[in-house]
Amino acid sequence: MGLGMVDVHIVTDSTAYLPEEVLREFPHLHVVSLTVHFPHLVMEDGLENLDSFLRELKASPRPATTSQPPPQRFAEVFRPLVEEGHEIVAILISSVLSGTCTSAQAAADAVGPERIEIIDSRLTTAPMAFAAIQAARAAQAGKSRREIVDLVHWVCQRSRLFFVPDTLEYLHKGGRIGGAQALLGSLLQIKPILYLVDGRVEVLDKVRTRSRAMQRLVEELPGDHQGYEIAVLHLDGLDNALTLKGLVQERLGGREVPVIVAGPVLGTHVGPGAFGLMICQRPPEAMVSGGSNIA
Amino acid sequence: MVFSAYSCLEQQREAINQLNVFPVPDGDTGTNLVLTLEGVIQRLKTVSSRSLSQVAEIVARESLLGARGNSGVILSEMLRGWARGLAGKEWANTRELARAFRYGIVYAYRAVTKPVEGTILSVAREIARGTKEAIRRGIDFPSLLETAIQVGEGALARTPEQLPILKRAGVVDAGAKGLLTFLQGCREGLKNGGIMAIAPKPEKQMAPTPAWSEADTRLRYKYCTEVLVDRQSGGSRRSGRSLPKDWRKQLEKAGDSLVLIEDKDLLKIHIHTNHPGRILEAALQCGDLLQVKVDHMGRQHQQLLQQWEEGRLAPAAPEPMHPEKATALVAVAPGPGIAKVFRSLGVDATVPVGAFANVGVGELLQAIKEVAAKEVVVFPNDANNLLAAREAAQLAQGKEVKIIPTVNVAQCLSALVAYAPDQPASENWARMQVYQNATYGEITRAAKDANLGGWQICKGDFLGLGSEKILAVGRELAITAQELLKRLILPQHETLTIFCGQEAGESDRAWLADWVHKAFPQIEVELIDGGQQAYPFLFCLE
Repeated sequence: MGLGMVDVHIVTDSTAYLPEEVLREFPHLHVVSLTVHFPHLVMEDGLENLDSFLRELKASPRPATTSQPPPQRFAEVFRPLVEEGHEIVAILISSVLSGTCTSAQAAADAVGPERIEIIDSRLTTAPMAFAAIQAARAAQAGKSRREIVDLVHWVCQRSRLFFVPDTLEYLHKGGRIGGAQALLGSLLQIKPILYLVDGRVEVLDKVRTRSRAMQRLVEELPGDHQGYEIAVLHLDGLDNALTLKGLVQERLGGREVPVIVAGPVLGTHVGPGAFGLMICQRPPEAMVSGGSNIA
Repeated sequence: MVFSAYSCLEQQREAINQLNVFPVPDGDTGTNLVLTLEGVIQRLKTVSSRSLSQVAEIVARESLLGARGNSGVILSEMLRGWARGLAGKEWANTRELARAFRYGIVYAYRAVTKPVEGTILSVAREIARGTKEAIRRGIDFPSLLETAIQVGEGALARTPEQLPILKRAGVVDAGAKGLLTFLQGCREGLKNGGIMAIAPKPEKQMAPTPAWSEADTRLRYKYCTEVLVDRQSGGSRRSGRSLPKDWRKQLEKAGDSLVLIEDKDLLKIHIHTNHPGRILEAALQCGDLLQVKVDHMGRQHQQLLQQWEEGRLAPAAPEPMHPEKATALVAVAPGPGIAKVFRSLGVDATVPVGAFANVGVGELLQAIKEVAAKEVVVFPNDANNLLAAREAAQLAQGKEVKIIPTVNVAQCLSALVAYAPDQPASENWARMQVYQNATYGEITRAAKDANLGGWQICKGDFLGLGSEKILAVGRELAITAQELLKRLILPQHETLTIFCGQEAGESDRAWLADWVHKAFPQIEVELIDGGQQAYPFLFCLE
């Protein structure tokens, strides 16, 4: 704990898919949930609902949709914290992919705009979670809001998220297809390798087979990987994830690579069977926990 | 000895004879050589010039544009060599003719970067070698030609020794045979002098498959012309009377397959001709024209028309229709469905192909000219189109043409998927080299009985080809396809694209796809209607 009386709290959204243990470890870290809508069912976004989500998805005749958290939900988190005199840094899903940032900003304006900073991570899922966790560590170490904001920007700009959907259908129907639109016209079975650029879905490459797609992902790994946080992601695609994990670990000289699961909102837009790769540069320790200059 | 230009003209026209006596066993080569010369003949018929160099130049240009298939290109190179040797001359003596002849052989040899022994090239080379001495001695041209033919026949007989596959099949190389036949024809022409009558009796030609001879007949007379005439309306030939003999003769001379149906009011003329205008004029003599229909019968042209109607092929307008981009892609497509897939992957222009024939230099050149880009990448998609593609590349002025030497559709797909339009050309060049990784298989029909690679083949059998070998033979399409796939599919394959041709029925397609699903669950299968004529199934494996 630092000398300052002001604590900084970190708020992120459910698409970070933070496991319970992480939330327990960082009491300064809070999550606001998005929502998934089926024709006859509404479901809160979160890993605990993943199984029922997948069941519903396969059974549902019509596509599912998602919605950002209403500003009210953000306000319910912001208000008590601000009233206790704290400051807030919110790290949220790319504004290209969701209106969550807009909702959060509206809540911030109502509750106390000078105390709350909303950051469009231009990411989602694991890399965004990584940024949120680094921010939470920094908050716990007593860093100032300014320092935490700088840290978040630093991490987000050096994070990359690649993924291979099983089909482009979900992205297309959900409207988040972005640059992959160009691949829709292909009459041939193609495995697209997508990534986020400035918060938008773009095409990194296209190949014919799954194994080549994985090889292509592995090519993105940095040569000197020590300074990077690397993880394999998937959504109802454990087999693929494990295969990719094997390839990545081999390339990294045996280093253990975690497998991270993504949840319902992502599943709605990417579809089951998707797998991906996260490559995030680790911030210098000084930015996260080494001392602090509180003015 | 001085040869008049006229005599040389006859020599060139002699090639017409080739249309009747081509004894090549492989329908493909035969078609290619005939078609290559077709354009030349048509053009020559319209020319009355006596100038040797002018005739030579026409021959050179037309044969190049019409060049089809490897052998076609090689023959056209030979003719171009002759033309080069005769350039600027009004007439030529023996020495000059002989020299021109030598040029022809050299050009033919140079046309191919990887000359293979036991083919048309080694025969050409033998001829060049064997006639060197004769030329030096300055013998007359007919004797020179005779020598050349003798040497050539000897070399031809040796080709089975040089190419084991020929020996196994019990044939001599088709291209080489074609060259010999051409020279023999020239000899006949010289002997008989005078203009050879064109006797279009397609059914008398060797034993090609029906599709082959059909294509040949149609292309001799391009336009199916039908006219419906109102005899009551007058015209210089009064109605009510039967049509005069000389009027009928006039029509007969203009083409073939003439059918006249008449009653006292109406007259219907149906004819295959190269001068529909003349038919219309003749019809006008009988009365007002009620209905006129003129169709280009060539398959390529029909496919072009289809593509036009689908709105996909830009008309040959002087200005490019699309905004210019850095690089355009041109691919040869064996079927309209395949062409569609290519275009969905970013190909800008597809060049259709006839039943067995390959594409001509002219067609490739046209596609290259039409696409709106300074750099063009060409996918020949058949070993037999490689030379034509190179020729077209050289002819395309103002454009930089690169060729990815794909020899089948599977390689083309692989390259196209790797192509990234937003990358620089050099990057794409490297990326597209993956084309070599694709595995290809095809089902075709045997045109005649044969004994090849240990297989006893009967005419009409389905042949499964892959890895440049015959891997399956059978009477049943689906079973043969199954056998072929069993031998082609490897554990690392993950995707199979099946292009179904016109001959593949619904049940066969479904049965085959089903079987692959069950036998190879790790493979994703896609069935696409390729619309190709000659191959019921084309397989692309990766």
